[in-house]
Amino acid sequence: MRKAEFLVAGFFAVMGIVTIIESFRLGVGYEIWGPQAGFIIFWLSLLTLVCVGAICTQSWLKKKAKPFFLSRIAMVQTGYVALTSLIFVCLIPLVGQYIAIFIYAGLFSAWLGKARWYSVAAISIIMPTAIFWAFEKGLMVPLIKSPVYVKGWLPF
Amino acid sequence: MDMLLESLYKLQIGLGVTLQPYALFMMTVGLLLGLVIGVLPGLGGTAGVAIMLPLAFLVPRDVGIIFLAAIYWGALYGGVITSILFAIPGEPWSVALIFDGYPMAKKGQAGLALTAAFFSSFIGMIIGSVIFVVAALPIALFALRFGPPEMFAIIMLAFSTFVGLGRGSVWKTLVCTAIGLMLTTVGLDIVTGQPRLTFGSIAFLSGFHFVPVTVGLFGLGEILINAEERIGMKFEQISAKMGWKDFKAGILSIWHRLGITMMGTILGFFIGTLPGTGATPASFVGYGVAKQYSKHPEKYGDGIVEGVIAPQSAAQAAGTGSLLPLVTLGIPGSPTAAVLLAGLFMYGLIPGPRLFVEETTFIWGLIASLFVANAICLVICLAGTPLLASIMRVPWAILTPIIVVALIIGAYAMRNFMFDIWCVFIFGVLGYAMKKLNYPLAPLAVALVLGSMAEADLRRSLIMGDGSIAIFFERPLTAGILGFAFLLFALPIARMLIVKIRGAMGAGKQPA
Repeated sequence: MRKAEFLVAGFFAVMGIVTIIESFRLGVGYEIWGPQAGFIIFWLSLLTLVCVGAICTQSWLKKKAKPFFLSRIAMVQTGYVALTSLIFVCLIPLVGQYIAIFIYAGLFSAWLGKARWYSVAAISIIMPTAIFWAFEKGLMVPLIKSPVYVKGWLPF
Repeated sequence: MDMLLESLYKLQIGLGVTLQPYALFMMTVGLLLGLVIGVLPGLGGTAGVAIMLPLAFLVPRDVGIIFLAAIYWGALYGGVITSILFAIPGEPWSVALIFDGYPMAKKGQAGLALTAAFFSSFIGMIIGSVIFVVAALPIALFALRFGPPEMFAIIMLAFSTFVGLGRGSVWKTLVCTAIGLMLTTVGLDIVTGQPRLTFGSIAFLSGFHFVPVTVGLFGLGEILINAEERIGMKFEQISAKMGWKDFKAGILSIWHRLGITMMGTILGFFIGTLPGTGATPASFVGYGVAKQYSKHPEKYGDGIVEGVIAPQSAAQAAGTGSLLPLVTLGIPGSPTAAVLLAGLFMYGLIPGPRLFVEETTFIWGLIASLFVANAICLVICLAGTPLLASIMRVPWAILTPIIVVALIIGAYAMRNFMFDIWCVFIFGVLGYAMKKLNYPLAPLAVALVLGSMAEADLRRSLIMGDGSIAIFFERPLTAGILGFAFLLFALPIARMLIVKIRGAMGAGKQPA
């Protein structure tokens, strides 16, 4: 838990340092009409850094720290869910939202759910089709199409 | 009296909006979604509302807000089922129900425990809604006199309650508030027009939209938590069937314990109105107070119906109460109300007293939906509990991709912006880590939603005061609210000092 605590606090610290530098560029002073553009950012960054310091000190002084993950299996499982979500997000600009959903839903149910092939096929086909009808046809909201859409091979 | 009559007249207008077929349909859909979310462990009502937020944008706003609120009401009811039948809380506010609800179910009184919980929910929400109708208009009319300094002070009061009344680390609450506020500064400066924290990126120039961030923090974050917690989760199967005998016993159990129901309701409503609290602390306080003042406290925990009625009526009333500061002042009373607040902004509305007075059909449609949604939800629960309990058997590997896809597509559909999809993923992972490390996410969400308003009010106030902060101390109301906020900010320090003094006194009394 302690390492994770430092990691998250470190992320906030980096954010605080970057924003404090940016606030100086914007101006942290006070004009006749009130604060400059970087004034509020400066004080918020400073507050972030102070809090990060306090969180790290408290964590350091804590004698016993619980493990971050409940078990090794839990860690692997969470990692897989995060990884499949990342693959899904990365695929969207490459193959469009519908094909990305097809791959993601199939991958998830087959790999993590260990579902039978017909369940995998059903979920990966039904989901993009249902979303296509709901968004494109029903709500008239266009989503990102695949490269083959331009050639007219697929409706999405 | 005139104000009450005016409220009743507006409630009638609101009922006209709520009882339209389309609104009723969307409300029922929202309730069903909320019930499913409430039944599923790990996916909270806040996450449910966050997930559906972008989709609600696609329906008219009067109906959209009723739909979003219905998800919350459904989730409040849905948590009851799994807590009583499987001892698995579908929602954090259902944890207190396990103490007596599950032992009752094991004793063969599952039907009585469920009906008592549903009827106490119903009464809690109906009485809460009546208090709501009576109190809302006077509060909003009083708040209409507020200028930018008072509004800034009110927002500070909301942040101070997180720090003063929060149960977690003060530093973590403060850092979450600061990060939330900082995210709202990304984009163009409201006074000078300078790009702030954009680092030359065009995507950053339009700023962080609160929908993808909230959807990531509460939605994807919960999915990741759920992936971890579901391992090794087993539940004992108890029959979820309920008959007329149970309905009668449930109604009679409430009738004979009206005092406890009223106590839970009033206490819950009051706790719900405090910013950042919501139904979870209310349910624990309701249970604790009922036990403390009971003639037989030793029976609590063994499976008595009072232990079901008190927390459930308190939780439901708190859910209703959390909307009161939201619609009258623009300050959310619970994390879910904070997400609903994001919904108001999404429709281009600025929450606060002016909205309350000017948008009669919108606001009073929402208020009227409290009554209608509650009645529909009670009927669904009484009729469909066995079916709802069976949702627990839907494979996780089917549900998870459906939810993740809904999160991503919903966030994208708001602005058709790939940047928002990345926001969902990044804030999802961050939200997961923060939740595991006990960072409170509610202050971050509230700061994210109220940040721009807080900055605008602060800077307007300073312009009004020719750049001097004295304006905050010259106006008695502003000074009073800010003084109270300061006391709340200082409360953790006072608490720490009291603990130290007590410790020192205790050490002094010990024999050598």
